[in-house]
Amino acid sequence: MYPMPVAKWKPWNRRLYKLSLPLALLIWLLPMIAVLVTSMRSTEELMEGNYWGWPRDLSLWANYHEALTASPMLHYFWNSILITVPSVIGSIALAAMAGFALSTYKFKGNTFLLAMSAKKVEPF
Amino acid sequence: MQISTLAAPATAPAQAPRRPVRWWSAPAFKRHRAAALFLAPACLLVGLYVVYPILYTIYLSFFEWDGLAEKSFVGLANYAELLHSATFFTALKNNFLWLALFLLAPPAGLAVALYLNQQVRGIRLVKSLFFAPFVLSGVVVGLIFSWFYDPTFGLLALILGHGVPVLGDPRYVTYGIIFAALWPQTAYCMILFLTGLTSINSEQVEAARMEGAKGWSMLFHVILPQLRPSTFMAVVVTIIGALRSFDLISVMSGGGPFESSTVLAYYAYDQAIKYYRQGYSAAIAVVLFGLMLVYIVYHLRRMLRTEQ
Repeated sequence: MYPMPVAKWKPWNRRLYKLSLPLALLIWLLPMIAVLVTSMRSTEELMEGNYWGWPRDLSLWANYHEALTASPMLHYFWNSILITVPSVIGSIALAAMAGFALSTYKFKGNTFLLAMSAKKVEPF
Repeated sequence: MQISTLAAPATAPAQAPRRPVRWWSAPAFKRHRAAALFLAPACLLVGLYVVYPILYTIYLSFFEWDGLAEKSFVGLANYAELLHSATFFTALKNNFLWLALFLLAPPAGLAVALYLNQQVRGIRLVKSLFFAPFVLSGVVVGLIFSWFYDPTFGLLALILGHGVPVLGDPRYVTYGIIFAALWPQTAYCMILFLTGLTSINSEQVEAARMEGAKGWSMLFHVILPQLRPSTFMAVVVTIIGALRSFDLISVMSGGGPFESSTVLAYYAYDQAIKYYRQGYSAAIAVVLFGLMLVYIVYHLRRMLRTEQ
């Protein structure tokens, strides 16, 4: 094990490590937490510029309700599914077949093909 | 793709067949055919969606075309114009800046992975939450960091006590966007290193410990050599990610202010979509492709050498 497992640390250091975890997580995810909290913020508060403070009145539902009813979000979500599901199935099927061929059969250009497929070369 | 020689498998039947074997049912041909059939769909798709567009882009870069009317051949004029365009050089400079600073992600990811590679309660949840930024779409990351940098209300202004218009200042804008892009990229590198760390040979680590290795010397001489595959993958993905950077720039600054934060990919998009200059845009894309090609060739050579 590397680094040294915490079980073998000095008790104080171990406690410090365990305390530091949620703190690090909070800092690391701060941007995401901000989005989550803002999704429950009222528009008026956003207009005042209260992006990062705690919302005065937590409207748990209003924004979600509006997003779901006032915009064609469900339709967009359906579009995402329409793109995601076939592309996942298709790419896994094709990749599994090609991967099987590349790993099982030995032929000229084998490595070249493997190397080519390992990266995305096109700019976009 | 040439599929000609085939290593004879050890299990091939040795005795001679009684009746003459037709060539299409000979085992060697059958295996070739199987390999070709398995590879055909993937190759077809790569040809259609990767090779053909690349070739067509190169072809297009010699034309002037607005996307609607007739194309007119202009030779190398697009490339000549490129060399006289200040924005092109800004984009090129920014691309290299991205490349250099984006390579901070692998070491940062390694640091986080080493920090999280422990067995305590709930660590699995912590690990998956640390990975969460990578799952976010680039648009969301861009939006969040635009709020973060907002000079009047943003968190950065709150921390510093006064607003700095990071995204509105040509001096800082690219650094600001790269910083935002490093967030998901570090998460990705972290996952690569975490999986690498689980497959570390613990006996070797224990032996090194007995020899008195610890801290940095342990990391550099025992751990990193074993993490080579992870490091390699992290660097490759990061380099390609840096050269392909587009979405964050589009969301956070739109290439501005004064086109100071544009990169080649965004510049190409800008010319093609906003100014209807398909040919010129294709020339930019070809330059970007050339840049990537340098790296890819280097990379392929390395890969082929290690395979042999």
